[in-house]
Amino acid sequence: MIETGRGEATDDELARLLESFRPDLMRFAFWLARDRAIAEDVVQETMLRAWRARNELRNTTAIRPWLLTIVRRENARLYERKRLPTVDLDEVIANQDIALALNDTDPEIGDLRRAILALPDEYREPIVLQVLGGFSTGEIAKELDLTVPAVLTRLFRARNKLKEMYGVGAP
Amino acid sequence: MTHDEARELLGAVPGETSPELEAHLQTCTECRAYRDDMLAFDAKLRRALELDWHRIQGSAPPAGPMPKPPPAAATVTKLMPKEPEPLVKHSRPRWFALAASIAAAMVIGSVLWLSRPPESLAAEIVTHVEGEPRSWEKTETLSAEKLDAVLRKSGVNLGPGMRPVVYASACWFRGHYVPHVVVNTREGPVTVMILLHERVSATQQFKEGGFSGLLVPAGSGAVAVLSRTPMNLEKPAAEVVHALR
Repeated sequence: MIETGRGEATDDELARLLESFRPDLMRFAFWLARDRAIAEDVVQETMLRAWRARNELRNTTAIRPWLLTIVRRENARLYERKRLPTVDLDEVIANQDIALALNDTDPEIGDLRRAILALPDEYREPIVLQVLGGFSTGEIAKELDLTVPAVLTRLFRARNKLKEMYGVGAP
Repeated sequence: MTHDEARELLGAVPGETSPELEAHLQTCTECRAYRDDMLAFDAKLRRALELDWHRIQGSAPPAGPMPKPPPAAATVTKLMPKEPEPLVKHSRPRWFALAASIAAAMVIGSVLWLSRPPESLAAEIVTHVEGEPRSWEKTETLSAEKLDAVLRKSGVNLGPGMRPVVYASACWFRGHYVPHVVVNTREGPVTVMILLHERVSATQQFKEGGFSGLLVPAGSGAVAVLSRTPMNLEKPAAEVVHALR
């Protein structure tokens, strides 16, 4: 249950708490959607849904995974509802703002980011859920409606593919 | 467990620590090296995924997520009659107004700093640990001299009972040098921060930024332990608290 030192969180405290998750949610949404504008829409919708369900939210101890799950579902829903075209990866990487964000003081990290963007959805989604979202294999299986062995296979292949694309070589 | 099974498991969940896997690793140096390689790769992967969203977001401020009640001060101001214009010009020099503004800003800043919520301690610890991704990659036990130097700089004495330390650094955290160490456990690496200047009233669990953690009271201070994969952190935390006595 979300509580402050003075008892259950007030609306204002809950609003601030939700806002504190925004960068985390944006990052997560971006890796799923690979599009800045869509990520912003998804996070905005997630915030609104969270706010509408704030009474339920007060009784949850795991707010972050709860929000990340909504982001993932909103992203899927948006693609389904709007029948968005497939993301053109070259366009994403050519976008100057995104290119700037992908770069890092360590050039290897920049290369790895581009490799993650190039991963097919079926591999990118579980690895983002695991590494960035902190989801367990069982939670990913439940979220993606897969069996645990199928998730393990995808995670294994995702890392192998990343290492290949990243230039380290497959294990 | 076969060699291939171990590799598939480590390639999917590098921090995995099932008894079968551990038994295999004890007899297979190749798989141990593979696990170290995958753990190091995962640290890079985490850093890559945690890109700075603000750099991508541009200058446009994000729209507010929800209607917020107006702050009390705004309501009060609205109800109050407008202050009449002064009839005479202020005789005080501009520098006085400037100095007063700076002083007021400092007071407000101090109040905000002192009234920051206690739950931000866990977030600050995670942010700090995220800034040292290579600390997770170390596997060789640190020499006693290097560890002593870090502890001395942080003003911390540790008795026996700690697991082998593979990384140690005296880090500037909330106005003090604190020991930031990594110990290897059977379940994977665990980061420990000894925070003699922070108080926690009871053991607190947290999950933040993909880390699992515990904040444990230790004398008049606290000890934070974190892992990248869910595991039992109570034992390593208890060992550190015991070694501090």
